[in-house]
Amino acid sequence: MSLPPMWIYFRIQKFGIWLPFFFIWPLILIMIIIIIPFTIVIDLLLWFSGNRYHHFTRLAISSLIILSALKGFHAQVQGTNTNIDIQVI
Amino acid sequence: MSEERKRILDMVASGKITAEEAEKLLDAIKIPSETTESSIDQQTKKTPKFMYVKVTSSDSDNVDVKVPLGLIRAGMRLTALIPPHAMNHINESMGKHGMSFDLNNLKQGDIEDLVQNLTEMEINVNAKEGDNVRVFCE
Repeated sequence: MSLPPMWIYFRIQKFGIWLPFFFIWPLILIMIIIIIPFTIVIDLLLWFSGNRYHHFTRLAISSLIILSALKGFHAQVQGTNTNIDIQVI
Repeated sequence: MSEERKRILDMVASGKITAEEAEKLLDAIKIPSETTESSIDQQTKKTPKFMYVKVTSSDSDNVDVKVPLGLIRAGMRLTALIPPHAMNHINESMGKHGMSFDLNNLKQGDIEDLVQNLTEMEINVNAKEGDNVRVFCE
């Protein structure tokens, strides 16, 4: 299992910036930890009420997994008047 | 030393077979293990990690996109979490655009097979004007 992405690089024309993604991870984890008990309660209520859809907890965890899977993403657009570069490292 | 090789050498030592016969037997047992090792190597090499989309045009407009296949896997798994009414709406919209594909029938095993076989995929489109689109996985 690889580490989640740590940096995001944005460049538009000649201006580029490195954003420290590793600062955001603790905030995201705290948010998920706060949200998970609520989603568990909602899922249980929906399940007992017979609702077919009761996957909000899995949805929250899957969102975290998708964010982690972004590592290695790179998009570069180069044109005569355009220069955009996005990297997730 | 493998069991087969030891048996062959014991047979030579006890005089049951000649050295030439032993050499043929040793060659025969070597070939399947080499094949197995190379196919294992091929399997381990073949798991693609990224999907690349490269567009080059004659006007010097270039687009390069590299998408981790882990992201595609995670995204496909997310389809299992789409609410049923939204899923029906998505299937209808896809059907209207000519893609009669039911996302409800997508299974985890199918996703893994799809990703595994993407190594062999390469799409090359060359236009008259010199534009080129290439999609491949590595």
